[in-house]
Amino acid sequence: MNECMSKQGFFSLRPCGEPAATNCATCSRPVCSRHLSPTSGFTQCLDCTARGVEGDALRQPGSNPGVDDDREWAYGYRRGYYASHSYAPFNYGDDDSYYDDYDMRSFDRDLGTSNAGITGTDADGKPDWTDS
Amino acid sequence: MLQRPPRALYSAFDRFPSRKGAGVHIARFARTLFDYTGGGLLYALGGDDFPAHQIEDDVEIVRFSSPFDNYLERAGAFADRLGVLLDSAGDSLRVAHFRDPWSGLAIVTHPHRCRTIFEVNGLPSIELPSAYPAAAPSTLEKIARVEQFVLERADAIVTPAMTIRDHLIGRGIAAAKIDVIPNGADVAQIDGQHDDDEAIAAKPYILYFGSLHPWQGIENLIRAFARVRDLEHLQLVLCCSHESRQAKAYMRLAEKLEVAPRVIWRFGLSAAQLAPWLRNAMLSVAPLTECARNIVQGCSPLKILEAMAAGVPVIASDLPAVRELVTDGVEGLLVQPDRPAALARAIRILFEYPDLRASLGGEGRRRVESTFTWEHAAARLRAVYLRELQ
Ligand SMILES: [Zn+2]
Ligand SMILES: [Zn+2]
Repeated sequence: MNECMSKQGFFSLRPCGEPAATNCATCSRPVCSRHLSPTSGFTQCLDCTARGVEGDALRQPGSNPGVDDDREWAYGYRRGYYASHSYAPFNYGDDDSYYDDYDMRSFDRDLGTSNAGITGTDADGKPDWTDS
Repeated sequence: MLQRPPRALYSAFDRFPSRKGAGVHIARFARTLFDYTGGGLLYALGGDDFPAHQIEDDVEIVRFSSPFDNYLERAGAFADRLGVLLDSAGDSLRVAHFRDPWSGLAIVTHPHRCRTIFEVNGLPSIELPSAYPAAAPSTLEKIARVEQFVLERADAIVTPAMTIRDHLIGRGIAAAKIDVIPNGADVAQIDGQHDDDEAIAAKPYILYFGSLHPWQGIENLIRAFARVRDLEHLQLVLCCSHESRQAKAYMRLAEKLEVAPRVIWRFGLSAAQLAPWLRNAMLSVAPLTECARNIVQGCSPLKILEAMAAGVPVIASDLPAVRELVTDGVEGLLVQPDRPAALARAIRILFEYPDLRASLGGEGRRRVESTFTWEHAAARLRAVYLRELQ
């Protein structure tokens, strides 16, 4: 019997290791009953279901000419989101965008330092002892 | 997607868990919140190596996992995803504690009202320029307006340093809603796991541990070390996150100043691997520079508290935020920032006076025990929850 490969733990992450009930229909990793997602009808692991939900939410069609895929992906979603929420003064991506292309460009990764380390910028995910 | 309606939310635009200071802080504060409310939702940054959804007893963890290289894009999408989570959280949510304006924007504008607590450790408009030098003042001004919007609407603000509190008051935020909760450290008791042989072999040495950001002042430290190279056998140990362009530049500086053979670099150590380096150090240094991040906004360096907790004497830059933790001559020596000569003088004094080292180290440990343990911080945070949620 294979062991569940889902990660668990609060202060640190470790593999679950329980006997697997099945394999996830999406990532095919062995997964135990506790790490199967009920909302997927117990066919997917929790991880794959959550990534799917996030992807669906972000991947609504956008139509900003001249921006790369990443940006279009995000903009398309945001237009739908701002229509129903109230932080419109700071929105992204349409004609009234709060940030313009000039603002955005300065945060492309190749213009930043490699181990930026500031809240949310350590894109390589390496451990760091940055002071909080 | 959430399996339980959360009563509390802790949101952080940081990877979690992590060994960074931010990771330690999130673990302590989120745990304090969830212990207080009987569980809740933790929303943080993830990535390929992190599960996007976890259920850990009474805590549900959701991590934003989509790869966005651009910082502003990532921040915006992270906030949007939080907005959708808040939609699904329903009316059960009583308190939202967040540590970045991106989370805050989604929370304070969401139609479901709950008590909101903004934990301000640093503000992107002040911290981002060191990582993104190309960011224009007009762009940073826009980010500052988002911060202001969230600061004004949050019900309560907690921050680790008086310096940051003063900065927020200067921005027009009501003093009455700001609580200062200093960072914590635990008096070291890690033994066994990793042996001390390597650290003992390096003795005597000065220790720096932390990141290599320019505002940490490593350049001044290396220049100071070059001035004390006559001190026999003294070495400099730098335990840093990971090898990077900056590390290479500092290595070249050490070579140029002809001290490279006495500088020991270690990268990516775990807390347990760092412990022997810390407890065997002759002294520890926090040579913070006098820059906007450290002065205008303030900071609260965990590394100083961690060295004090280990009973290791500290030499740190004399900055307002540092004076909140260390009294010059009592728990450590404070030196003028950005002055390698002053730092070198302090190193020389501690090298030559072991009694002074012992007394500073002992007082530092006592100060942490009496004022700066994580339990002290948790108790102060619980008092804020009690007030906000009654
Ligand atoms: Zn899966
Ligand atoms: Zn499992």
